[in-house]
Amino acid sequence: MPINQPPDESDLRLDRLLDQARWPEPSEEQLARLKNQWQALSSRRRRRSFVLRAAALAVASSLCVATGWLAWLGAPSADNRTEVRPAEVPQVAIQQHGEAPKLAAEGPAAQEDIARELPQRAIGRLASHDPTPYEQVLLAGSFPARAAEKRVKESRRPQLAHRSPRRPTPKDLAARVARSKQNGDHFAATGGRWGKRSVRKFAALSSVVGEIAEKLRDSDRCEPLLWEAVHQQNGLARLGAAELLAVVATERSLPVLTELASSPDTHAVAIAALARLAPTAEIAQLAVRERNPDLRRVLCAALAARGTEQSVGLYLNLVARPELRRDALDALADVQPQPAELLMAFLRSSDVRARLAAAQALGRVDDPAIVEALAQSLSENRHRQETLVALLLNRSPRAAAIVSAARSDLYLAANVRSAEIELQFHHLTDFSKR
Amino acid sequence: MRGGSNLDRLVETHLPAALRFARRLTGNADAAEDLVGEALLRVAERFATFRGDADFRTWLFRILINVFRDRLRHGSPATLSIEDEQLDPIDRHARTPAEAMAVSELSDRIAAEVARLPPRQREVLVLVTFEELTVSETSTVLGVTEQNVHSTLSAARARLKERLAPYLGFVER
Repeated sequence: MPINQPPDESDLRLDRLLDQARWPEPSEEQLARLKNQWQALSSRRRRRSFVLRAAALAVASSLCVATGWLAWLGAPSADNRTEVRPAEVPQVAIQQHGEAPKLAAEGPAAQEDIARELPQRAIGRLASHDPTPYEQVLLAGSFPARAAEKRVKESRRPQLAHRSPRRPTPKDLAARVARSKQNGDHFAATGGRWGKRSVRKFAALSSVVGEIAEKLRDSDRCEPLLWEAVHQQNGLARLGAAELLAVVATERSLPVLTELASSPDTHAVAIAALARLAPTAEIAQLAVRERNPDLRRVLCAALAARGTEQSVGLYLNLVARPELRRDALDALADVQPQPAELLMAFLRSSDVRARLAAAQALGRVDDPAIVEALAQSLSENRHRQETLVALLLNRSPRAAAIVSAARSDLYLAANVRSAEIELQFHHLTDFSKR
Repeated sequence: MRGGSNLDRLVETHLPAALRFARRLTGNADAAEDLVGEALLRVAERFATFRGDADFRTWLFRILINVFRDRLRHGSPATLSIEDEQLDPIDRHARTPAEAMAVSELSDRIAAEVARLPPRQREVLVLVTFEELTVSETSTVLGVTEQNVHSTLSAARARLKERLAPYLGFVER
């Protein structure tokens, strides 16, 4: 009843009516699934907390080392500082180089003349060694101090690059992809099997960026900054921002990801993130529209992996579509754990389309327990052909043995034949070898 | 690790209540499970922001409400218009005529009418009437004033009275 008003008769009646409202209690299955999900999340959270602490320590150590290194590289020695003082340079130069006295004697005007004549290759030569005091004089006279310093630094850059830690080789990247697989990075994990070199490279990049993104994930400002970046940047910078966003994105990034999915250069990145974040109905629609079979497979796998009745129902809807069937069924190999129990439940559905799609999916489940469950189902209900369809499609020796036994059964032999015709009719497989 | 085990215990204790609450909000078992799954993800990410002095159940409900609202936003036609074709999951619980008749029972009808309320009214009604939260707790969960809770609740009840008018005269006393 309303809390701020005195109750009248209709309020009391409504209260009594509302008392009778009934919602089904949560099923044990649902609770068990959610508990499992929480346990996985909880262990991941602990692991991440440990990794973040270790990363913070590593970053702090790296900063200390980098500061020391830069100080060693960039800070001139006490002697050098003396040499570059304009007033003292000529004297030092005269002492060390016989050809310089003229320069010292004729003063700044002569320095300017010589500096104008300084060929570019002389600057290039500086890259190979530290500039001599004479060269420093030439540089100091020919360019403003900062510009000269910049030129020298630029000319040294190849040397510095040579000193830096080596770039990761393809072998290193492959190792990173393997690490990502262990950490459950689905996109990187599936990238290894996509077969296209570009996609594998992309997955390798994804794993590298993923390591950085993991460190940014806790920042609330991270996503809005990346939204700005993908809208304002172009080319590689935009792609990099999109890649980072795909890793750190939460549901609030869905509109931006949807927008990125419509752009050819960021489509693959966005689809991988949408497969992780989007509502199940939207994933199914993306799968229907997707033209790239690899990405279609990722979307189908995402649906099956969610493991809810709705998501598996949508997944079976895709299996039931001839144009998507092959990718949807192949995607089941990427899903661990496979939603076998739900597929078995759909096999008992009153809808023949659901039963047939579930049978095809069950034919791809590589689990001895499922084959036994199918055998049990066959013994309980000999009329349903779909159980036989699942067994015919299953590659395990045990399934073949059950089908073989069914062929010799007086009643089931007709059903086996009927199931075979069903498969041929739908062009599902070539099982004539059995 | 101790904080982690406390959190595990809290989550496992309140999980059935969260699932019931989600079911009342969404009116659908699968959507409720999805909602709670998403909320658990946020709990794992944001437990550091949970103040120990607050009630964990209230905090969890607040997260559920936020997820629910996000889903409503993202489920809007603007986002879903990627594909014009309507794609329905295959329903393994296709109802027989006898089952369809059972749906018409009064209790299910009331639940269905609650599910038809506008989201904000549904949130307030479910929290106050079915989860038995106080107005103060409800205002905390929803992030609105107590006065707002009162007015929204009145609007929800008025709408229910209107829709359930044929049944109001037949309530068993």
